[in-house]
Amino acid sequence: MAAPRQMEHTPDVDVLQELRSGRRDSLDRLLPAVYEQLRVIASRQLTLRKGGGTLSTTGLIHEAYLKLVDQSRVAWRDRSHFFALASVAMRHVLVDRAKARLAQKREGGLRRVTLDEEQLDADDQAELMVDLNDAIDKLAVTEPRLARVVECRFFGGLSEEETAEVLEVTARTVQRDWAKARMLLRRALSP
Amino acid sequence: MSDSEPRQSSSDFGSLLADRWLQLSPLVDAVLDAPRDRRSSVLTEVSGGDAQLRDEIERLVDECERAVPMLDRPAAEGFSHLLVADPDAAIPEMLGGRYRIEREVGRGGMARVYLARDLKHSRSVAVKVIRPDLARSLGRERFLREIEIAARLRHPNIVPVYDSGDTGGALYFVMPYEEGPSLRERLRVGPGMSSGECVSVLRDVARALAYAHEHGVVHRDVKPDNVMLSSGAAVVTDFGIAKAIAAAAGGDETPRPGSDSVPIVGTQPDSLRAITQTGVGIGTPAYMAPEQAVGDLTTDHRADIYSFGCLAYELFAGHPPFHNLPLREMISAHVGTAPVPLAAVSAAVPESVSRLVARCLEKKPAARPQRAQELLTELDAAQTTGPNAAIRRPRPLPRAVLVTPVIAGFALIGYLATRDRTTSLVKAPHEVTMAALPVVSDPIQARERPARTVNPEAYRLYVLGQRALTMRQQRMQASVERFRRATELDTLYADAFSGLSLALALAPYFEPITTRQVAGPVRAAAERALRLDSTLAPPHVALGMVHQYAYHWDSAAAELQTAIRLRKPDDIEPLVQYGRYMLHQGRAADALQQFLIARRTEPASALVSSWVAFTYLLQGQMDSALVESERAFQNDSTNYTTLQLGATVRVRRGDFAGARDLVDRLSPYDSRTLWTLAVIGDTATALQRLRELERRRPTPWLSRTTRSFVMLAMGDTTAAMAALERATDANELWPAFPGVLDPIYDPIRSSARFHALLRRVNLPLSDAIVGPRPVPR
Repeated sequence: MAAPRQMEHTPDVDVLQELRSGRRDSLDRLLPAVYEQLRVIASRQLTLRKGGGTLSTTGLIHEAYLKLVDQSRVAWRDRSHFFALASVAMRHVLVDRAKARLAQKREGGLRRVTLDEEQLDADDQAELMVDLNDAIDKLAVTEPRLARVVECRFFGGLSEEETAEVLEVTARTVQRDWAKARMLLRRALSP
Repeated sequence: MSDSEPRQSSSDFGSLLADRWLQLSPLVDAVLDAPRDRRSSVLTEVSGGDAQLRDEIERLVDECERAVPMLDRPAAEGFSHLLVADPDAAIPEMLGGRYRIEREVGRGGMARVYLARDLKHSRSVAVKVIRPDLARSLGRERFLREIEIAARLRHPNIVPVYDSGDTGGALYFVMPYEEGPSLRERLRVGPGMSSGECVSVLRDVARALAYAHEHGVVHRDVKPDNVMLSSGAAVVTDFGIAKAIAAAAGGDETPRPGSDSVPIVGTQPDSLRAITQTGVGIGTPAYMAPEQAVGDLTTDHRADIYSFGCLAYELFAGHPPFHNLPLREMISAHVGTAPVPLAAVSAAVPESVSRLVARCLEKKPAARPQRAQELLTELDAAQTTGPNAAIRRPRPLPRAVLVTPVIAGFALIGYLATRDRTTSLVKAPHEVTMAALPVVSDPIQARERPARTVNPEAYRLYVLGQRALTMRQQRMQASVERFRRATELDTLYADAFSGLSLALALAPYFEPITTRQVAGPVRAAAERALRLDSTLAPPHVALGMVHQYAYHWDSAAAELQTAIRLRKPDDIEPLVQYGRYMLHQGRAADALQQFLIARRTEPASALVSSWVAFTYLLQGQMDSALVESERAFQNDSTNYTTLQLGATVRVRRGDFAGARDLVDRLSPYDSRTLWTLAVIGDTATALQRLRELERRRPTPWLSRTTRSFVMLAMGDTTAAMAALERATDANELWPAFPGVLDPIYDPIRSSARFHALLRRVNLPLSDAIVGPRPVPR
């Protein structure tokens, strides 16, 4: 077999090992890799979606996961690390994109976009995402765990059980936290 | 601000102040936790009779439970626009100081087309502007260089490239503005084309291809949309553009993400990253050659010949050879499905054209016409001889499939995540998609390619199938079914086809299915798996097993050796099966070597330890056999093979009760169960079950082997031989399981009739097989 060659564009070579080590700082260092992976997958899925497919965050995260780690050898504990990481990465992806978009078109935007909208165009989504991001940061000051739940449930698309695993609380707590977080964020973003 | 007024802090939630919330939060929790019918009383309770507080809490609880549309969907859905690159970036009014953009006249997957005024020459031109997100990460110089090559083409059937440029952030090229309809539009709205018209269009296209190929330019995206009909001739447009984009994408230096900082969004469109990573061809799914579809870098002008075949097919049939298929299936059809012959879908097609199209559509580039000139010659002949009846008007095709060019490898990569990268199989990105096409005959030449899926359900099924396979559960059917469903969910899932081939190959040991019955399906699954990823080892194991079932030992050895070469470091199956092959050949020492390597790889495998123990037994090393057998039971006392072989070890040790205990946990009709029962003296049960087995209709596939085992155990060698001969007639599995070294055969080992049988199944009459067996120590 040909000699293995170093992959140039794959940021994720040692993710498995890093995840196993489970250290907080290594998880943080991994974020860019997961971020990049999610970004690629998300865009691709959206492109394919025009052909009739559907987009699901869980799908995104799972795919990223499959790409980054060999599931068969990673314990569940590692998987929840990954989910936590992926959720944070997803938040970064969306917020960065939103900021980039707003930087391009910084006119208008007078209408306050709220979480009660059903459908938003791209600019409004960018606007709302940036506001929401700030609101979550503020939420984290008062209720840090609620902010983490938002990351997992909303950005990561994780189920209650998965979120519970990540945060090491019961699913019932996640359910309650999520309900409260939604309420608080909605209030924070209401005019 | 007075101290009595609560201060507004930045962490408040609208009118709800943070401090207040922290007071109320536990009360809200209490209400949320209460069953609905008790809510009211809990509310009263927690508010301690304070009606205002009660209202406040109740309102918060209500709000907790109302829908929040933008939060109730995962972010990637509600904010999906943020995930796509901005496709609507404005185009400057003037390009290159010379082209004044007038209006957009069309858009494709890669470029927008604008009608523009060429101020220098006072003429209308078409300016094609590469999609900004795509352009952003193209190697611009490379792109323009490639375009320049295409711009040298001068041929009446080729739309020339006038100019190209890179200004104002836009990457563009300029062509004459063709008013005439495209062949696509003609097919969609025009009256039916006669056979003569079709052939005439095809000749024009073939001429264009022949000329361009001679000048070293490949189109890579031949389709009706890129054929313009103007003043009676067909002219092909966009020559070399797809290639330029792919090349420019591949040649660009992109920053390595992930090491120091979070990459800046937008510098690298994802589609392009995908190209960069995979080195792909660009094309349109319905017209894409198999090698292009899987991103083979060796794709050459013969991909155009294939696309030409698709286009020709569509002219006569009204649709391309594969149509109305989702992307993945489309690609897999190009790669692995024979098209319905054109003559079967269109009566009007001249016979010679039908033949020519079939050749163009060959999967292997080498089987197609090698030059476009050849197409021309054939078509010239057709035009003079063919019928000229009008062809029914072709139906329009689904736009989604036909019009959107996709980046091919991107499509594949999109669905197949990369494989285990902890091994030596890690390859440079451009090698990743040097795909395992049928043209790649030597697996060693084949390159690593993703074998995984992104379909979580398919993956789950795969994992379950794999688990059932490893466990050697009594019902291999469970494994087969799961793999099969995984392949149905993701028809390009190489690992699932691979697992399926192996599970099917193993099935005759566990299921009432014959070796003959599985041979075909095993081959189909294995070949499919290897087409998708020729670096996989399990399909070779499966093929090796099937060869053994047919008593073709040499072919079996070759496949198994290939499997060992290709195996992933943690894959023990090739070692186990090769070891077993050695046992069949009477080479216990060689077998032991394989099993011991497997044991080093997977020290906790019950299966491996069982084979190690059994081999020690065959070599007469009873103590080692016992130790190892014990180890196998510690690893997994439910493994079927462990129970089977463990029973034999116990029988040899004289532990009949222990043996009985084990076979009671096996299938009651298992050949080894009945042998064990008979040999430990319970001949009544053995015979009764044997008769039950034989009464079944259709005749259970191993019934003859089982009879011979029972007869051997009971000392009736004549009846045993007769049964074994019938087993051989029926292609039963006896030489492959348990293998001729098995103590079961000891009573007939020196018999001439047994030797004749060994010759029939191509086994050597070596000392090890026909000589006396080592006495257990």
